[in-house]
Amino acid sequence: MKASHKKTGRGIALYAVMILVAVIMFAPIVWIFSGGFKTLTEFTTSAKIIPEKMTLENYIYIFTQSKIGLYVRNTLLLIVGNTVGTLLSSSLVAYALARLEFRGKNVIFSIIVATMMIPNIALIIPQYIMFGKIGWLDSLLPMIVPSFFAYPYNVFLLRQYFRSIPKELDEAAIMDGCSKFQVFSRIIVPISKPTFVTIGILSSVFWWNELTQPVFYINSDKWRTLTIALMTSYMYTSGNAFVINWPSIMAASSLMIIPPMILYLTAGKHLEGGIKTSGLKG
Amino acid sequence: MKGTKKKFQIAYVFCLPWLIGFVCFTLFPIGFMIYNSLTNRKLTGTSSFVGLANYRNMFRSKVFWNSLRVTLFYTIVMLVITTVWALVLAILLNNKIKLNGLFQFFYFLPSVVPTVALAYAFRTMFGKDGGLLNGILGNLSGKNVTINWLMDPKTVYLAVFFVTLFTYNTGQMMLIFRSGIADVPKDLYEAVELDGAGSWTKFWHITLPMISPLVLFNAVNGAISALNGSFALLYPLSGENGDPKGMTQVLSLLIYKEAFSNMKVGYACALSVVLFVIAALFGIAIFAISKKTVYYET
Repeated sequence: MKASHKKTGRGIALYAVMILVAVIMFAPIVWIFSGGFKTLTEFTTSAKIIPEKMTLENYIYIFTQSKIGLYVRNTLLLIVGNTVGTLLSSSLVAYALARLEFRGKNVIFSIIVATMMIPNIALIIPQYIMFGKIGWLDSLLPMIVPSFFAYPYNVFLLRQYFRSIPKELDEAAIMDGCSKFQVFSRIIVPISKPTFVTIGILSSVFWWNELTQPVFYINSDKWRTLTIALMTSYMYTSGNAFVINWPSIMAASSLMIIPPMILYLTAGKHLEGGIKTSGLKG
Repeated sequence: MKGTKKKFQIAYVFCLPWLIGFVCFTLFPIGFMIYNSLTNRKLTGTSSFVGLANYRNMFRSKVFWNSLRVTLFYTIVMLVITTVWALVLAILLNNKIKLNGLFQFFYFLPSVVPTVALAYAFRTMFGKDGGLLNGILGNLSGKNVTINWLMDPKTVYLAVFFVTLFTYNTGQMMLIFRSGIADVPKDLYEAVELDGAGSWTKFWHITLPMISPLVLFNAVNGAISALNGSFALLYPLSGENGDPKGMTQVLSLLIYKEAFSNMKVGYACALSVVLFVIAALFGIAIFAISKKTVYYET
């Protein structure tokens, strides 16, 4: 009896801690959604979560006055371009590394593992100069074209998966007269669909959130992504370039949270699994 | 003989995309970065060779040394704090209770929210007027609290490191720890339960030793993510000057400022070389550790 009392006591304490942590972790998200419905005056003077004077003006502003469609389009171009590019190129390389025998294979694999460790930010200035020389600045090209030349990270993930496919399948196909490329396209690719989906999800989340590269490469309104629009288009009130229009930023932010949220609710296991394996890298 | 030769060629064709990408977008930029760090290249116009002048200026610059210190401090503290927090979240979620899935949703979702949106949320939550934190503290104390958390040198680190608990990296580590903890064999716990061990003893003597390779691996991996991700978090949070007083000006912010505000691209390249070397050192560390603790198939 006493023991079970102790147990319920601990259970309540555990729930209390877990709820407290949940409140802390979710506070910024609640804050963003609440801020989107506030007026500028209320936002800068009151910290109440439920707005005293609910307003839709921020959302109306975003959908009628701003080029939200353009920003969404640019962001989607990055997502689609990168996903298609990296899947096409990385899977070819991963296939060679997982299945074919050739000289220099281990050297190539070691280089791929080593380059995964280089943070993008360290090479972004020389890349910036380079893309400037070929006239690619202020466009999406510096952020899409490289994906067609295999991201080391994805080569690594795909290679791991390809290695888990039984070799007998390849051999049977070769007996039937398939070329190496046909083995790749008809056997390996269809079986590896789950990993392709995982990489697609990871790449979508990454480019939906990516700020650094657009900050360096994009100048004009025409190529702004949603993240850049948040720092520029939605930043200032139309009347005064020195007053930050926080409610408009919050409203735009809340819209940017919805897609990852839907992704989590519909493909949560896939998303979590992908993020986990990409972190373990093996 | 002829057949094997042909097979070799096909493999290289498969590797071609990577080779081109590696040469154009990694190898060449590395060389180009080193070359440009020896010139006085501006954002526009011509440039000339200046030898090691950029490096001499850099090593004499107080701003550089401050930035280097901030980078190492930020990277290491973020690493420790986020690793511990991820472990705490994973342990909480490991309790098999009702609504566990709901809790996981609350704990994990912030890590897939765009960093810039998070940064702006915290800039206002930690803001002086109408900030959430000041509002809560005001209600609790009954006084009017007006601390500008992110701009006050006394509180800025507290605020910034709190924000790092919400990043992608923390969520990723949480998921890794969670499956690591779930994989610990149950009979290990049963054995010490017979000796009357409490949860704390079980965690300290079984869970932690069992997942220690993951902790180590995550920590070093997190260092690289911190170096890389610092820009996306700190640029919207504290600006290119790393306010207040450069206290948050990590190298990536300084590189951006030198290249785009001061237009000293050659100098920014010299700074990039330093950042590259730091990343390489962390990279070597992770490689050495993972060779020992994580099983790699080659």
